[in-house]
Amino acid sequence: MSGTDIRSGQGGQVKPPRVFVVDDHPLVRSGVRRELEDKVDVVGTAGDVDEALAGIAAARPDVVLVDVHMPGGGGAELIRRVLAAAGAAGPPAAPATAAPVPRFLALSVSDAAEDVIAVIRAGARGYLTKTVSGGELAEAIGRVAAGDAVFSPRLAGFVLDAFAGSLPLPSDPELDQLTARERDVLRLIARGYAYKEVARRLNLSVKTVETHVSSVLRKLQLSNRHELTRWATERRLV
Amino acid sequence: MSVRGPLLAARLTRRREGRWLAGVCNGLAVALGVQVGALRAVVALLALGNLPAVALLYALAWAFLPPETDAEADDRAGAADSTGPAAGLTIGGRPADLVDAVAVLAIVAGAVLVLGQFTAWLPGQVVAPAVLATVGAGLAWGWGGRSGSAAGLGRRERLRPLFVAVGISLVILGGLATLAAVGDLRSIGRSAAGAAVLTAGAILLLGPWMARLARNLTDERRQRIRSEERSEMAAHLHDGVLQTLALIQKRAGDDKAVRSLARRQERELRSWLYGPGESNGPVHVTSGGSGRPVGGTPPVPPGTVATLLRRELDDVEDRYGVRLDAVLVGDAPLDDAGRALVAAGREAALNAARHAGVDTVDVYLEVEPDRLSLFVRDRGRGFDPAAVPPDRRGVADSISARVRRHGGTAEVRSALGDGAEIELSVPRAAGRVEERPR
Repeated sequence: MSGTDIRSGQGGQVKPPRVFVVDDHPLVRSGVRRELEDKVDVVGTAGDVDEALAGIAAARPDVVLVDVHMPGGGGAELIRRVLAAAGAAGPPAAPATAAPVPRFLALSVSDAAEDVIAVIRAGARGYLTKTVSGGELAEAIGRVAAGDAVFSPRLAGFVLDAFAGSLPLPSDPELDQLTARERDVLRLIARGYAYKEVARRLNLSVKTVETHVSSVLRKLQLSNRHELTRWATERRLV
Repeated sequence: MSVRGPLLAARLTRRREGRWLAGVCNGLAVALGVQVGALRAVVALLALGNLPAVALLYALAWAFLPPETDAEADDRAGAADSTGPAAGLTIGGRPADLVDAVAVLAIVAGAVLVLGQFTAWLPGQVVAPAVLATVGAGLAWGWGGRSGSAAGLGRRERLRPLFVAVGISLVILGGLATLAAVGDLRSIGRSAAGAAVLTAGAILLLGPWMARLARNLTDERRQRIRSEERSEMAAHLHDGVLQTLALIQKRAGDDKAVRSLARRQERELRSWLYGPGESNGPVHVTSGGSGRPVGGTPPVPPGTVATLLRRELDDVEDRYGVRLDAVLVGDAPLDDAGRALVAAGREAALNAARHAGVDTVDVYLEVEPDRLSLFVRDRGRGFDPAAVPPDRRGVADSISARVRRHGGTAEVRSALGDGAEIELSVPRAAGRVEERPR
């Protein structure tokens, strides 16, 4: 629940994660920086995609907080370009130790399903709305730095909606459908449960919950489920 | 070099700056991206070969091409200082492309040759008056119809009537001369020729005017649309956001009121920007104006469970200044069970807002094929459900009883200091309908 979590536990990380903030609003940049100051190491900020590309290359952060909507291409564009520059075909699957590719956490006020899905599919490891508290944000950053996924209640709702119903002929059952357990986890997250609370409720370990969520994220990024795209464009959710 | 625009990227105009005659070559060269010197040389050469044809083409261009507007001139002036007529290396601030230049000059030459054939075939008595008339039209429209409003046109303004008069006289003179010439040609019927000549004269006089009129109309419409959009945006900002900001300043000491105002404005702006959606219930207007924001979406009739729930949650937010984070998955048409579920959910949210002592409450609605589930959860002070005294049956009566009447269930999970969650569920009418044999 607090910053101490990140420094002590979380994937054996001792140092606070190095964070880069990309947002076109200076007020948001300074606000996020102030909120995170004592919890993580904010190594730089940028106001647009080009500036961010240069800044990320120079600062080598662990986690990039990225705004979904920005002039000169949104968060999805930035993520694609950084990953392409790093030579990664897709989102980094395992923690890269040699050439660190930063992990991305999307922050937005928009909440439009299509934007959220687009930025996740581009490779973001999570999505939070900007109303999130500083403590929750820091915790989420720690989670992303450790290679886990961060699902806000809203993102969990989107995913449940997108994967609702079954396909008559799933092209890849492994990717096109959620397991019953994954559904249970997502439902609890959508109801406002933190991972720890989900674990307690389902009698699982936090690690298992994280595994389920990461698996859902992978399906979200890789599934060709045709409904996913159609669904996202049909619903101009706010 | 690589950023050359497409052919004809610039608008085809007559350029006043650095012109020799009417600025036709100058404008054409800029629009086509070729060197004006080369273009002029070719035109001059062609004129040596076939003066009437070139003169006719030039006069037509004079009459029909619009003069460059001041904005365009400014743009170009800012782009480069080498756009003068004598600048032989670059035109319009970009290097001339040899292949393009050759192509354009070939096209001009071709047009002259074709017209040359035409004029050679026609007797000189007809061609000369036609050139005369066209030049007249060019004069009349080049000077008379100029809509440019720049300062420093004073001399031109004074000369304008003169040029218009000269131009019109030339057109009439040309027409008459043509008539006279044709009169000598016995092969063509007199009246037909007269009508043709009159029509040609009318087209020469009216054509450029009508073309210009159409152009002005388009420009005007574009500007009007733009300014309407701006004023709509301004009206909305004034109505909603400015009012809210004023209210917030006035009540800066009252945390709850400020939060509630900001949240309400956020909802309204969201619905205005993104259309109907997640956190968008009824559209509130703080100004008490027209009833809904300009250009916003009309309030959706509460025909579905999700819509009604959003509306109720918005109302609770407004009354209690808490934030209700709602995640809604799926939707269903509203029936009695759905209505009862939403009403019970509203009570649960009110309860949390009143007693939990927190800023945010999570609400989750899921529509499944056979049932509707609604969860209201807070991380507040919590309570012991077993210890609620029997005389305070608010939870039991207003929440549980409502959903039970419709075959649903209500479950309360809470512990002191550990928040509370109320889980509500009703079977779906649609599910029951499907069970019946058809």
